[in-house]
Amino acid sequence: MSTAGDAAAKPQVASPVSVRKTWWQRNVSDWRLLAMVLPATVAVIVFDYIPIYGITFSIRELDFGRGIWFSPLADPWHRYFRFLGDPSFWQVMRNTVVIAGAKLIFGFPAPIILALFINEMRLKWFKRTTQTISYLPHFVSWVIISGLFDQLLSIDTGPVNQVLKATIGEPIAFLGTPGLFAPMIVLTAIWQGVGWGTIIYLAALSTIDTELYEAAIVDGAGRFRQVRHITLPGLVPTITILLVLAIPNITNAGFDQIYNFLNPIVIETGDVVQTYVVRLGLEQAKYSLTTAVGLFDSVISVVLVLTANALSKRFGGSGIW
Amino acid sequence: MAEILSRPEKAFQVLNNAMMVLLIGITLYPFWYVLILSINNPSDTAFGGVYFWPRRFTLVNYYLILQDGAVLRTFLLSVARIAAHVPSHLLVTGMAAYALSRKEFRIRKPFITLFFVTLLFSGGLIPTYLLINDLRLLNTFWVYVLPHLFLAWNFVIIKTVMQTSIPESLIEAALIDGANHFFIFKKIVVPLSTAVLATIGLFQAVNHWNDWFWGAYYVFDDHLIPLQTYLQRLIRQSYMTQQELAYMADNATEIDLIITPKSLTMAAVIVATGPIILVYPWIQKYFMKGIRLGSIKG
Repeated sequence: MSTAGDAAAKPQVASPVSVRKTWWQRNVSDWRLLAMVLPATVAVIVFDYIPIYGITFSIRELDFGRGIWFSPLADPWHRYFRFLGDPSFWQVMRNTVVIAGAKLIFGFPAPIILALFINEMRLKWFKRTTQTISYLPHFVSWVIISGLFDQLLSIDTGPVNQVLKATIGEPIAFLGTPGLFAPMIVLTAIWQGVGWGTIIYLAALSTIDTELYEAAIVDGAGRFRQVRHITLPGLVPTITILLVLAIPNITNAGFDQIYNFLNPIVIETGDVVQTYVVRLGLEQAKYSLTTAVGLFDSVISVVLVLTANALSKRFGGSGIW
Repeated sequence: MAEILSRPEKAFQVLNNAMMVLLIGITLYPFWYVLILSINNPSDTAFGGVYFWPRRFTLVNYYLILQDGAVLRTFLLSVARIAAHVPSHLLVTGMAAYALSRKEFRIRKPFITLFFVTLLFSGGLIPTYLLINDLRLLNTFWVYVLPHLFLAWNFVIIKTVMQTSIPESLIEAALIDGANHFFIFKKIVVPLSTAVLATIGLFQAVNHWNDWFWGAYYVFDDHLIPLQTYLQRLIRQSYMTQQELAYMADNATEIDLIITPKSLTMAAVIVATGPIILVYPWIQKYFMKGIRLGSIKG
């Protein structure tokens, strides 16, 4: 190494042999660069790769003497798929798909519709104010949001139920009725995310050529027909890509939100895969079973992500990566 | 645009603006409602009917939660975990991003693959939990720092921005002048990447401020619990009692017992929301950029 360095400094005396760089010089060039990736590499190996190895818990027969990392492997088929025979797993899977599906069906169009209306606003300062305020809930934690709605929908003093008592005569336990859990999750998710969701559509709308509108006006098209024939077609590529990117969410009901709204009264309709894993795994120490469920969930989502990526490329997008 | 609006167009504008006023109302009212509950006399709140304005103004709820100490303590822990997390995360992720953006570092492919896999696949909750336990990190302040040093997604964003916004000739010139990569990173790359680093830093700060999960499952010592986790417990308590109330609706003595902590919980909710509102102008400024950064391909 040092001879090569000397050779570079004094090229006039360098022999062909000493000019040839070592493997190290060609590929690393400087130990400092290696030193700079090292902390991240160690962090990733320890906190990402060791847990990936930990997936084998799902097929290990726990031996307390050796610890779960080194317990003997059991018959994988018999051991891994135990959870499929558990009726509570299917209940949880059903809840997950119902909630995630409802979120997709009702939550996906919401920001598109809002963006269309925001786009029509003429008062610039009011448009900006509306946008700024509508983004706010996105940055507030679900702990706080569950606290807000808990008060708002409270049976005894909450304003919503006061109105209901005055009109239909009786209050509704919005957060304490199993049949209302999925609708409440969808509604609060829209309340939290609709404003933030408009950003990408408004950006797409701002790229539509204004001449198209001018030409349409000359042709006598009204506001509605301009939206119908110019604005909406202009949004189609964005909508397609975002719809494709939403595919992996079919099995993701939103752990953070659901955990904070879940309570024993609504557990039969509100318990989803991730809350089930937390409850059985972290609170009841059923490590092997919940690792298996976690793996099942994550394999499904990897398959969905790869599908979404392939589809997004096919639809002329750039793919997720 | 000074345009002459037709009559139906005018009507549409009025209707549209009215809808937006409604949207703003729906967005802000939950916050406003909780704010006025937190500054209203707790036993007065119990009678109901406080919807738009405090009826009997008081700061006693804030006084009580400050006196109790738990809100202040958990608030400070949340601040401390962010103060520890953000710089360490930016340093580790930023250094990796710089090193792997250098073409002369030819073995960067395996590292990028190593990082990339973590975007797609993780061991999941249980193995991570058992690892943290076996590393003796459970119930220590380190669970807020060490597992969060690196995020592949932030790495991709920082690396892309460094590659596109810092002129290669600048770094080459510094190398020819004899500067080493540590020096270049510190004196050229970091100063020229402040926008992306600030964006990612703010993003991480907001995420960690809002996180309750690590505080709920990875620590159990009261002195290590962040504000959001503490708040979650308060809300759960008041929530459970409310659900019980729904079942046994006509128990008056119970109401007296429950109302006071509820007002305190609302004061704590406001305390936890405050910092988000305070940094909101910066969030506005940087997150708009962040959305655009996110759309840059790695």
